[in-house]
Amino acid sequence: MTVELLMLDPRLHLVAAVLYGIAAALAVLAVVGRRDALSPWSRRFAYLALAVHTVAIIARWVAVGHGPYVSRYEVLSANAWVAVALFEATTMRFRAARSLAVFIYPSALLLMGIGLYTGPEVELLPPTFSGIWLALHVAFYFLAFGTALTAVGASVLYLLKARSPDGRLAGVPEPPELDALAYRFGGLAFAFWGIGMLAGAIWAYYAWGRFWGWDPVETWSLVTWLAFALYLHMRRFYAWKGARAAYLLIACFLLADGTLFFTSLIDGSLHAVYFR
Amino acid sequence: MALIFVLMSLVALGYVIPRQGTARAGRLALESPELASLLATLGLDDIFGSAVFAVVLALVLVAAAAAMVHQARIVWRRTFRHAVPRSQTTFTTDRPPAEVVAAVRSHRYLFAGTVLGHGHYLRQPWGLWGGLLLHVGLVVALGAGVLVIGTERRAVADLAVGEVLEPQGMWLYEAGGRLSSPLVLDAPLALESTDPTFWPNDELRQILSVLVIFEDAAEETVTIEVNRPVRRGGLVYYQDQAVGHTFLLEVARDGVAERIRADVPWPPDRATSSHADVALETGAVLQLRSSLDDSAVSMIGVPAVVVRHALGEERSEVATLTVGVPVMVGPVSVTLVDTLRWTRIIVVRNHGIGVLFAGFFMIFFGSVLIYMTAPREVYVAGSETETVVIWRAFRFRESVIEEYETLRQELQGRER
Ligand code: HEM
Repeated sequence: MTVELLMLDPRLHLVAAVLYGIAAALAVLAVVGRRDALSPWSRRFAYLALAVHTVAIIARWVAVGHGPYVSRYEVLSANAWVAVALFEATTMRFRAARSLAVFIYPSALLLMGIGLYTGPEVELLPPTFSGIWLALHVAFYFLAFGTALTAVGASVLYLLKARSPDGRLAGVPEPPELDALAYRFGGLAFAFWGIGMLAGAIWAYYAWGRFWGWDPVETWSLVTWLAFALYLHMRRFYAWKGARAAYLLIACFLLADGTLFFTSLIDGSLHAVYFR
Repeated sequence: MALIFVLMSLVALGYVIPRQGTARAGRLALESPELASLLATLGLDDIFGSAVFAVVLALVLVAAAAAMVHQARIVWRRTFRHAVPRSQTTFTTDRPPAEVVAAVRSHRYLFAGTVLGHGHYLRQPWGLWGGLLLHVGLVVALGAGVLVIGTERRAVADLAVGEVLEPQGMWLYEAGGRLSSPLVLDAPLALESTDPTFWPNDELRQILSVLVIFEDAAEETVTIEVNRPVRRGGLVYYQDQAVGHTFLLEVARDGVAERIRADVPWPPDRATSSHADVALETGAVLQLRSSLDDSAVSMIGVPAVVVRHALGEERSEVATLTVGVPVMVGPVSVTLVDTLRWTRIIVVRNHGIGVLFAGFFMIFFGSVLIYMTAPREVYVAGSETETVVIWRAFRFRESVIEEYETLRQELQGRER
C-alpha cells in the first residue's frame, strides 16, 4: 500500500503539472489573445489540477508519514499548491484579480517542474522535525510565498499593461487597480512572512533551545522581511506607486526567492542539513 | 524609514562578516589574519552584540512608540469623532434620506454617529485599528526581545546514566545575557536513562531521556525528548542531539593509578567509528574508539572498544577492552570498569518569551487587518429636495471605488 502510494505520487504530480500547463496556456490565450471565452476553461483546468495535486500530496503524506516540508520536491510542490489554492480562494470574491492567472498558473507549472526535476526521493525525518510550530512555520512561509507571488504578478502585469496602451491585455484590470492589488498582497506577504519567522523561532526554541541563531536562512529571512517593510513604507510615506513600486516589489520577491530556495544551500546553515 | 534601512544593513553586514567564535571566523583568522584583526579592532566581528546595534534598536523602539501614539490618535478620531470630509467622491440624489441610509446599510455600513445633520456610517471600521495593533506589537516584541536576550541564561551538561548533577552544576558551558545571574537548579537531578533510536540508514531519529529530580526527599521523574522540552519551575529542560557511550576506566602507570571517564559520541553509522581523546595526568593521551557491532540491526548494540595510547610521536598498538580485564597499552595498564550511556541536556531560564510571541501575533493580526480590509465611510445629509452622499475610502481606494459607483447607480445619484 505504502509503496504503491509512493509510486503513484510522482505520476499524479506529473498529471497535475500538465493540467497546470493547460490552464496556463488557456489563461495566456484568454488574456493576451483576447479570447475571453477561454478564461472560465482555464479556471476549470486549474481546479482539476488542484484536485489531482491535492490527491498527490495526500498520497505522499500517507506514504512517507510526514507533511510536505522536508525535501525540496515536497516544498516546491506545497508552495505551488498553496499559491494556486490561495489564488482561487481570494479570487472567488476578488473577481478583479482573476486575470492574474496568467502569472499564477505558469508559476505553478514552473514550481512543479523544478520539483519533479529534483526528484521525489524520500528523506527521513530528523528528531527536530515535529510539532505544531514546525507546521505553522512552513505553512506561513508557503502562504507568504503565495501572496508574494500574487503581488509580484500584479506588479508585472502593471508594468506590461502600462506599456501597452493599445488595448492589448484587455482582460487585465486597469493599472491603478493592479497597483493596489500588488500593494495589498505585498502587505499580506509581509505579514505571513513575519508570522512564519515567529513560528520558526518558537520551533527552534523547542528543538534547539534557542529561538534565534543568526544562521544564514534566519538572517536572510529577516532581511527579506525588512525589505518588504521598506516597500510598504516607501508606498505609504513617499507615495511610491506605479512602476517604481512595481520594480521594488519585484526586487523584494527575488530576494524572497533567494532566501527561500538558495540560502538553505549555504554551508553551516541548520536548514542545509535537511534541504541539500 | 531610514532607521529600518540602517537596521537592515546592519543585519546584512553582521551576516557577511564572520561572527566571533564561529567556524567561519576561525577560518578567516587562519587565511587572512590582518583582515580578521582589523575587523576585531573595529568591533565588526560581533555586530549583533555591539553598542551601535543596541542604539539603533533603541531608536527604532522610540520611533515606533511615537508612531504608536500618533496612530492611536488617528484611529480614535476616525472611529469616534465625526467630521465631514472634503471628499471629491460625492453625489446627490432625489431619494429621501431614509432610503439612502437603507441602501448604505445594505452595503454593510455601520452607524457611527451624527454630526451637523450628517449621519456617519463606517464599513469595516476594525480595519482602522490594524496600523495601531501592528506598531504596538512591534514595540512589545522589541521590548520583550531585549528583555529576553538580557536575562536569558543557558547551561549545558553531559550526563552519564546514574550521574547526579548538583544545583550549582558541573556545567560544560554556562552563559547568558548581561542582566542574568548564574543558573542554579531547584534541586539535584540525575539521569536515569537515555535511549536513542535510529532510522534504518543509521540517522538519528529521536532520543528519549528520563531525569529524576530529588526535591525534598521526594523524587520526580521528567521525560524529555528532542523538540519536546519540559518546563518545571522557572527552568526548561531540553534534550540535545548529542548522545554516546561513557567509558569508566582505571589507568595505572608506574604504580600511579587514575580513574578517568571518557564520553565517546555515538558512531555516525555502522561503518564508521567515533572517538574521544583523554589526557592523562602523566602526560599521555588515550584515544578511545567506539564502533557498533555488525549484528546491530538498530544501532543499539554493545559497542566494541578500542584503546590507543599516544605518547609524543610514539603510538602504541590498538587494544580492545573488556570489562574487568586489565590490558597493557604501551606502558599503561588500562581496565574498563564500566560502560554507560551519556547524553547532553540543556537547561534554560528566561523571562519574556510569552510577551515576545504576543508581540509578534499582534504584528500579524495588525497586518492582516491592514491588508485584508479597506475601511471606508459615508456621510449622508438630507434636505427638503435632495440627499447628499459623501464617500471616502481610508485606503485602497482603487480596490473599492466600484462600491461607490454601485451605490450611486442604485440611488440614481448625480455627480456633483
Ligand atoms: C522606526 C519606527 C517606525 C515608525 C516611526 C513607523 C511609523 C509608521 C506610521 C506612522 C505608519 C502609518 C500607519 C497608518 O497611518 O495607518 C506606519 C505604517 C506601517 N508600518 Fe511602521 N513605523 C516604524 C517601524 C516599522 C517597522 C520596523 C515595521 C515592520 C517591520 C513597520 C511596518 C509598518 C507597516 C506594514 C505599515 C503599514 C503601511 C501601509 O500603510 O501599507 N513599521 N508606520
